[in-house]
Amino acid sequence: MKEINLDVLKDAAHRLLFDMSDEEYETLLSEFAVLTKQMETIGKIEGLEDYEPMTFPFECETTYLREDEPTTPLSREEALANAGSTLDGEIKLPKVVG
Amino acid sequence: MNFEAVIGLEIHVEMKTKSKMFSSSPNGFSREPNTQVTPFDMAYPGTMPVVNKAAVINAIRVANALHMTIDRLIRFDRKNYFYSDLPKGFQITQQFHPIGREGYLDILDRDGKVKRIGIERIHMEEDTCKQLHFASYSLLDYNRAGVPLIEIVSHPEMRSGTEAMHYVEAIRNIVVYTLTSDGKMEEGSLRCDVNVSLRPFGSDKFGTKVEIKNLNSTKNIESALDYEIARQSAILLSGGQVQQETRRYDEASGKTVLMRVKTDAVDYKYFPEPNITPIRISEEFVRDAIDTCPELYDSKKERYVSLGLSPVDAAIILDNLAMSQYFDKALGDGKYAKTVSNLLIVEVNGYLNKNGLTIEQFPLQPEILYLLAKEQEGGFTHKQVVDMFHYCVENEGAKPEDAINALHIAKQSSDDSLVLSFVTAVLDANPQSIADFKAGKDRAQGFLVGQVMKMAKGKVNPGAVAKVMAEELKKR
Repeated sequence: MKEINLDVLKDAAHRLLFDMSDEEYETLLSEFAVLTKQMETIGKIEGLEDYEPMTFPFECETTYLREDEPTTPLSREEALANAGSTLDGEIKLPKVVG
Repeated sequence: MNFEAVIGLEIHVEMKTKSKMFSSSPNGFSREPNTQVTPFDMAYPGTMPVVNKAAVINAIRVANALHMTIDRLIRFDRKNYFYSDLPKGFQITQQFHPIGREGYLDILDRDGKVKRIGIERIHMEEDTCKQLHFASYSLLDYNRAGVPLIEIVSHPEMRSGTEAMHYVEAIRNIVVYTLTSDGKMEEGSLRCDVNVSLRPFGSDKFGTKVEIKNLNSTKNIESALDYEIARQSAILLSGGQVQQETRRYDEASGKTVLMRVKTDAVDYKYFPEPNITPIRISEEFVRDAIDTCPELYDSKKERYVSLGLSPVDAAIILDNLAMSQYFDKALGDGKYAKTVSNLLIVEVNGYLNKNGLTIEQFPLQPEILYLLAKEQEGGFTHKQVVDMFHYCVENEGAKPEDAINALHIAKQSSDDSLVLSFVTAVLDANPQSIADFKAGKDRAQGFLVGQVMKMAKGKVNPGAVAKVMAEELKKR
């Protein structure tokens, strides 16, 4: 398993456009240390590979399907409120293809 | 060495539901950008997907039309990738448990013979947002993000561009006539990726496959594949190797052009979608979706032909869903189907083309077209009925009888004795024309028929006149 250190966290924060303080990095690092230790403990259990990964806590099914009725969408102003940059009602971003 | 083409198709169909696949955002084409968006479509934290019932019904209908096994447990999976067209960072799709498995479609091959093409799977998923790329930036419109899609994956069993074209046409007919999609390739509501490779005849191994994108008409599919098969053949015959790559079709040059060379397959890290509990659909639900499915293209075509239409005329009407819906209403009891179809194909289409209208905008009620056909079969000539047609189109609410009164149209008589009396009179008065006819001038007969019509002031049927005239000329 990849070691979670300060460089890994800074790289992830950079990619996700998160601006984090040193204190927040410290908190995250200590939380990851606990998580990693727990994973290592679980990893020591024998025969683990015989178990299927679990998606739902309980084996259950539903029958519910949503009726095809549209609701009022966001206004364009609301939809674009968190965009860093917009142009003609569209979200503008650095060129994403070569 | 002779090669055999191995062609497989992946078709994405945008459904024309009222709301999106997993959100209740409206689903519509070409509105203002970023105006058909809910927080879920933009991946706001805490929003959850809820599956659209109409999308499931559509998928069941298409799966049934393709003779597939329908999974009664609807499950979704996440396809993870990081790209600007996908705000969640994953697309919700059905990787592990598609709603439909293993079906087929019968198409015509290059020689016009029926060929069965196997279909591996169909599944539901959500569309991505629309990106526009410029020289130094890209623009994003989230209206398309979350639009319900059906993906239809064929087995690689097609062997020519023509087969692929016929396959896509047949799929389009199914999605259009189940009312799942408007199936417009040029607008992107039906999108097609083609995989093609070559192998020596008789071999059961696959060659290196090339993917072709940007195919926006069925004709382009045929042309692109014909070009690509020739290109790959030339490479193999000269001892070269086909590269695994993605190409696009350039319509202007009629060639496929390299887009990118494929490297290792992307790992999408699929896993079951934890935010959608598996949904059990009942037998009754599946049965109801199938039983209430509108009549399919092939069944309609068979019905039209059984009513007396030629297969070509039936195909002309069925090429446009709204046209066939109009025809169904104009058919009435089906007695005058052939005449109704002639009026629709020639007169109605002519009027629409001349005025730049669609059939949805055509002012004449289909029931009136039925009455016009009835008049034609009841003794009025085609020309007279066309006059009535134009009167009814131009006068809202007018019926054929109103046109008859307003235009003083009189029914022509086919009464043999009446026709014969006119013919005899005209022949007696025109001995020179009879002599001309006997001398081989066929035009003389037309002249004589014209004289009869003139004398009778149009009150006799020209068909009956021509028949009697021919008989009488023989006797003289």
